[in-house]
Amino acid sequence: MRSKEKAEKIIKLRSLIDEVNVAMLTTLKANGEFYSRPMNTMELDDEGNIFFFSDEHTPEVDDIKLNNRASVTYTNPENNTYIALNGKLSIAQDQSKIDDLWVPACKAWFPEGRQDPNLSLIKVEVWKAEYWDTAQSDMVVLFNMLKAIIKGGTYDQGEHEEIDFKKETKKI
Amino acid sequence: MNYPENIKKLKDLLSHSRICMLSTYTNSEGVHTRPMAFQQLEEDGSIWFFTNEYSPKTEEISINHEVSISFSNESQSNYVVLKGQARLSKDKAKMEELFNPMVKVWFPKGLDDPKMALIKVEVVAAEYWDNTSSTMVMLFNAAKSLVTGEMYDEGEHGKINL
Repeated sequence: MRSKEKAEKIIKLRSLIDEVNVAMLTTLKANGEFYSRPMNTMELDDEGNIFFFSDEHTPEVDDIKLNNRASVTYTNPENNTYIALNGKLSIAQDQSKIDDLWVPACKAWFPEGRQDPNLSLIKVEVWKAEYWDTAQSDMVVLFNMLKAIIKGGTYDQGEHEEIDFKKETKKI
Repeated sequence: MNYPENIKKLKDLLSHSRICMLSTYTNSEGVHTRPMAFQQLEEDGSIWFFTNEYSPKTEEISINHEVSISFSNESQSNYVVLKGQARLSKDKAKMEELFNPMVKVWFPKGLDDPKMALIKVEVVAAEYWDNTSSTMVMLFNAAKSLVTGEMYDEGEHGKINL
């Protein structure tokens, strides 16, 4: 994918997740169990990386060391936005990035501020993005469904578009 | 708190939810997540979904039964995560019981659609995030009982960055 094309897709993705701050991050534990938890999104950067602040002593950090494939989803029932991303997860020890992303509200979890020893940065390199868009989605949107039911036909699947950032990563 | 009360609490938490995210395991991606229409939590702690029998998720659960189901509603600060075991079902009586006009969107032929199937998830663990303190609360974890012999685990534990 050309860089211009990628930039446009990231802009599109950013516009979709802009309405939702809290992502559901799902990884796999060492024993194969799923581990899902809500996380506050700090940034989606121009390269397609998503950043979260995390406490280095929480279990998720150990899980990441064992399995770095993550699912990040954004849902907004108010306007029927459903986004599912897949990516490679890593812990970034990047103080300058932490400084860039830090906002005073983060003090609620990291009272010692941006230098808090418990603070670490989770980075997800997104390689697949899917979304189910309100207007033409195949998801539950009452007025559209009624239309489909009245017409008696199969509901138009609509804009269910996959934004594939790195096709080659899928082979791994 | 006993088990039926936990189910009741969970029902309350999910009472306004119409869509959830279902995560299955795949070798290629690790975690594969998609939105699913949520109907209700049954009294026995199970959740049923309508599905096309030949969709990727039915193949994924046939290989690995473990699934995670999440509900997020940021405007209401409502976050619920369930874990369970999923199995494909062709239970015609259950399909008739659960069928409603919304299902016609995916199955225009209705109950006669040969591709129509159900996924039954037996929920074994439930957690939610308290919307005032952002603290994770475990409602129950029946899976834990297999290991520790304790029946249910409840109460607040762990703080999550919201």
